[in-house]
Amino acid sequence: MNSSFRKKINSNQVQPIATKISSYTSQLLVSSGIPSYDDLLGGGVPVGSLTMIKKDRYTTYADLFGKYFISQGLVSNQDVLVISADNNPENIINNLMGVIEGKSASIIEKESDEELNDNNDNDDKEVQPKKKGVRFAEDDKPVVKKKRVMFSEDTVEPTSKRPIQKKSELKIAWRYEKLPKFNDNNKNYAPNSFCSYFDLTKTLDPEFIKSKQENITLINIRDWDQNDDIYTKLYNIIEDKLKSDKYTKDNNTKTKSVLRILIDSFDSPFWNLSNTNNNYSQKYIFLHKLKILLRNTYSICMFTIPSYIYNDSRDNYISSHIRRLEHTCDCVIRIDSFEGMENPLSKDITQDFQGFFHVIKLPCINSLVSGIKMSETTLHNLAFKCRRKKFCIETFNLPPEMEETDQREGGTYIKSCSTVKSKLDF
Amino acid sequence: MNKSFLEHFIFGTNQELYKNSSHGIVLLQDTILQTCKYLLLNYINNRDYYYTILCVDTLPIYWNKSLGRAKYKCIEGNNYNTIQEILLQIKNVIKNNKKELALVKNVIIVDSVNTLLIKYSSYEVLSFIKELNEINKNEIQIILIYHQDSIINTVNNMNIKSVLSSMATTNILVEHTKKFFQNQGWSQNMDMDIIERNSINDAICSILHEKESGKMLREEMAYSMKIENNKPIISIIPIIDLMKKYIPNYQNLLNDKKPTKKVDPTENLTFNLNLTEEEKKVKNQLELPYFVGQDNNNTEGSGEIYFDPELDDEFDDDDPDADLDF
Repeated sequence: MNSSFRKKINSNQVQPIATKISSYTSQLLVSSGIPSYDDLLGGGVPVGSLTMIKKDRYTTYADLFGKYFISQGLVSNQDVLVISADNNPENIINNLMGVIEGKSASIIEKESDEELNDNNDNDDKEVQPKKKGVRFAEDDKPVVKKKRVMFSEDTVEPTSKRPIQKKSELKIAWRYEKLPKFNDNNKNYAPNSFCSYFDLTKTLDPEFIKSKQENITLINIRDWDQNDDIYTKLYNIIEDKLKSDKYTKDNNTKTKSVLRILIDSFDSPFWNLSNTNNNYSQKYIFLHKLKILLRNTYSICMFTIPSYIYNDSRDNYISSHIRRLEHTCDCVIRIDSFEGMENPLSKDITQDFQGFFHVIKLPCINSLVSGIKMSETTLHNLAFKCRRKKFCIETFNLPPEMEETDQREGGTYIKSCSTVKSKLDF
Repeated sequence: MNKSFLEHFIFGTNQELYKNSSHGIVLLQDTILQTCKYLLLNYINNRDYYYTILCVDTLPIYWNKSLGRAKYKCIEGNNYNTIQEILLQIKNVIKNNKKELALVKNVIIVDSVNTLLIKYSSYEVLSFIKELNEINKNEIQIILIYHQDSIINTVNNMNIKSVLSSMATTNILVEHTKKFFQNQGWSQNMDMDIIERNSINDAICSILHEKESGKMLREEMAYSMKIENNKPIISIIPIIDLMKKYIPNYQNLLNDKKPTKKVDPTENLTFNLNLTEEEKKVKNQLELPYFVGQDNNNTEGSGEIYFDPELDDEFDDDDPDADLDF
């Protein structure tokens, strides 16, 4: 839906890096790293939300969500906080997926439509956009664009710190004069893009991770003394971290950033509770307080939880405990991989996808209903695909029924490129 | 040669098919009706490893009686107060083994995780198992004996069986044959006499194994055991053999399980898609324009496909045909 209408926003408010404002709900959004998941949520994950991801059994697809989340944060120059009891947080950081060289998805698409400016260096003319995702703006070849044709989505780019140059060689149509020009003169060639293309076969460069040390905080719960009250201590640490000026919602003119918090395997058996009373209420209170913290600052929390450990002996979902945790969270999704199912479905049905993606609750912050554009039937019929390079969420559909997928019957089906001569050989 | 996982587990055959099965955690589950110890004893006797047995449920003397030539050491779990001490003791044994027999693989057997869970808290036991797994990862196999029909109450109503089976690389559930058939609905009115419990003859194993590629292998196999010269000889057989033995009318059950016939799509159409006899004749007689040229060529292609994958191409490394047997 392309429209030139812009929502009126408070231009005094400094927008944090790599965020955008949703056109449906005026909510500040941040990318999760997975474009199809962002679409599902209506543009991105709302800042200030608490997302619960219920893990799949035996496979680790839910962990991918956490990794994408953190990777996206690092690549967009945001801050991350990783908390884990099951795994070593360093291992999580060292195994993040790498980016396909290039810039953000939206910028690349626009560049392929635009013409390069005549006043650019001659070198730039050699850099032609060939494929999506491969365009690479190097440090010594600044791509300076002075004309921006059209926005492809209803987004508002950050307006702070971008002086509008009224003097330009090209005459811009009056309608677009007031809009910010894309000025790439700041030398960082990994601009604070909203969403990047990730490649699962690559890992983030260790040098890059080293350079981001000040943005990364790791907490390993297993290192703590087991007599501590885990939830109180964790809450205090998060609260301290969020007191920094970067995340507060006041109008200081400093750059604002978003803190991404990932809790890996929340409430797994390794979060020791044996020495505290009121075991259940500890968790709700923690999540509830955390949500208040998240709402009052520029931060987001995503956590994975192995909810299947609370199923009863027949693997029926009866746990009221999990249901109460679900009510505390803003967004609840469940990953159900085909490999881990108790009664696995037939291979014919499941060959294209790796599992079902159940949406239990969608975020609706500051509104009555969530700003999604998907119909209810599509929403409850989603599945995920995890190919070699990427992970995406699509509507589940059965593969086309072909003769070969039925039982093999003798040699009656046609083999192509074979040496047997039959009438229909090529 | 049987290519099943159970065969591989007991005898060690087909190593190339099951690469990651030599390390990790094996959760051996049994019930009160059928013990898993027969399977385990065959495993110990067939595989030449160094075993460290943590005896909490049973006394070391029973292991001494059953294990013949195998190299093993029993650790009496009830002699220690805390689980940390047990862990330390196991680590010492493994260290000593490394010094003496560096090349022999170590296997740690925990007799009955259930008893450990009764004595210590679930968190401690799970941490213990995790730390066992971290001793020399990729070289040590840990076998946990778990009685799946006993209910364990944990602090927050956690299902310990789910947790353990998620931690384990291999899950083997040993079931009593007749009980298995009863659960499937294949035979009713099976009287479970005391004599029939813990049948030494046969049992059915359901296996869930996590392969190296991440895919799950599910298998249901049976084994049958005979005693010759005071030694147990085990053979892995498909479940059908046991069905023949115990269920007289197994043929009917097999027929029920056969897949239904293919649905004929031309059945309920309002228009006609079939050809009459004349039309078929005419169709067969029709000469297609390129046939003549084809016959003259008479060249056979090598059938090779030249494929240059592009940057955006994605394909799985794992060949789904790897475990087909022709």
